[in-house]
Amino acid sequence: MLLIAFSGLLFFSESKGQTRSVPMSFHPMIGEQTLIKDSSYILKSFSDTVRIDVFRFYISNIQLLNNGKVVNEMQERYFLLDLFDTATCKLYLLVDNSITYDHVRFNLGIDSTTNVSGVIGGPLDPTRGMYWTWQSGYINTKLEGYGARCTERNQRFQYHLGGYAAPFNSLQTIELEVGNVLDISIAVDVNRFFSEVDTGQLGHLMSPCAKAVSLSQIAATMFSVRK
Amino acid sequence: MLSLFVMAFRGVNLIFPAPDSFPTPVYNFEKNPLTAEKIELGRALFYDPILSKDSSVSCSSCHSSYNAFAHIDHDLSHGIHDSIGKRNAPALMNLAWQSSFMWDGSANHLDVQPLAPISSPQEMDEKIEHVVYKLQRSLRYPNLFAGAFGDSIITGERILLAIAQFQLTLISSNSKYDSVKAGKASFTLQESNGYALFQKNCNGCHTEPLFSDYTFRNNGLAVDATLKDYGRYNVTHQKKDSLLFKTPTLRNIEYTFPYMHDGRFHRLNEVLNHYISGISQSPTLDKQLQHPVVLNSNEKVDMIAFLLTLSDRTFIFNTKFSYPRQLFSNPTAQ
Repeated sequence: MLLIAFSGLLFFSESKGQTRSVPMSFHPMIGEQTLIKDSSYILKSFSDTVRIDVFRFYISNIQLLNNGKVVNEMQERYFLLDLFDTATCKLYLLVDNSITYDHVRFNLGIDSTTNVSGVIGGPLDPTRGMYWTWQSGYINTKLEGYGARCTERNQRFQYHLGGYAAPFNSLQTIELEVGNVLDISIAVDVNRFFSEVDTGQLGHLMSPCAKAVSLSQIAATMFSVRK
Repeated sequence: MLSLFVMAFRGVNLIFPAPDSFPTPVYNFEKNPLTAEKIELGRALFYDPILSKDSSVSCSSCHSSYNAFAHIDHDLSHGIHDSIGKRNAPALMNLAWQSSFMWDGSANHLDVQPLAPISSPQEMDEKIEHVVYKLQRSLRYPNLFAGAFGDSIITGERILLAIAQFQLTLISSNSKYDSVKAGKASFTLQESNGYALFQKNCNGCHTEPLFSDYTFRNNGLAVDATLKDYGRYNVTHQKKDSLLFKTPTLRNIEYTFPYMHDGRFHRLNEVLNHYISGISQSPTLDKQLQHPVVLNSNEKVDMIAFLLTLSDRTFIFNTKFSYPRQLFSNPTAQ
């Protein structure tokens, strides 16, 4: 009797609002190749040779859209992705089976309201190395490495892109067409960044400013859906 | 049953004791509700030099409880490795009513302000990640964190929430001025004259009852060529913010000399003389100072007499705010 009742309960919870888990993964790319940490790559743009050892960013407020309307909103709001640590690059959206979607939308970075809300833990904990201590605010994207053209000390470039307050709000909202796929795979192609940014001209950026905004806009172009 | 009873009293949310005469606090207590354990943990961290790279500098090194948490007798505060900084450490009190911190407002929330001195090479020269590491390996802190947060996991977030809680308790509202306002005391004639002069000349920026509106203003201080400190401009990079600094409170001003963001005035008389005849013109000079303040020598004395009524001895000597002697005498105290 108890067994029937128990399995009855199980059946009830399963049939009500069945959900599926939609993996959303991010892949570090350089053109068509997978970007490997510390490997050297010759870039077509500016004839530079770069090797990258830090490539981290915040993704937040992930939504799925259908016909322009938001049909799913991820409960967990903030993710710190380290593109060289694959464990951090796969997220799981919980989507109701009845829902179809054609676009995914997310922020590259942390929104301004969160930026002024005081200290937050988890992926936003200041020990994660993505928070400016000298002036409150999150670093949305951190990209570091070495460039043959780079004139900084040890030829090391450091791009820490952040800023939430006007006129230097560098948050980027990215919307990508995905179709009703069961698996969202996103390429983060660093080639697109370096085709616009010359390490020889700008080797470091570490504060909220107009340049941080334009580099953030360039950074947003790195994201595309892998078919 | 008894253990449940005890548990119910541990970690009980305290009501923030806001003075009736003060406006509504701006700090969001819902995000960080006060408990006795978190306050005590925050106090320990405030007084513990473990926050600095070589364990020589604590928050209290520049924010002394006997001086309303200011750094007296130093125009520019100094920190680790005998470094001298660029500014005078401000007094700490009534922080729940402030929405930005540091002279240029570079900290946008009380919670995150400590990250600046912790990381500054001239102050504590440490990384918050390493503070976590050190606290985890101490005898004292895993217990204190467990008492405050329910488990002994130490994170950057928890450290900062605890320090914020201690700092929020630093309320100063019990000066002679407050007693007079509550009808429990009277000003002397001098103080009364001084109060009238204050209301006429100073209240526009040093607004009662907090004695500051905490806005950024250019109060006519010529830029110090050796420091080239442009204040708020350093944060916003907007020309209109050049030479603007956060208006400090005048409460406990008796105890917090020297004055201004770079400690250039050692005596209140010098401050008054600045407003009378020392204001430096500039495009961003505050509108309220377009005409200098007019005070004769008697009036200056009266004004200072009034300013001394803003001293709150209960704040200065409050043992709940001072060095936690008992806690620090016991390495494994809970």
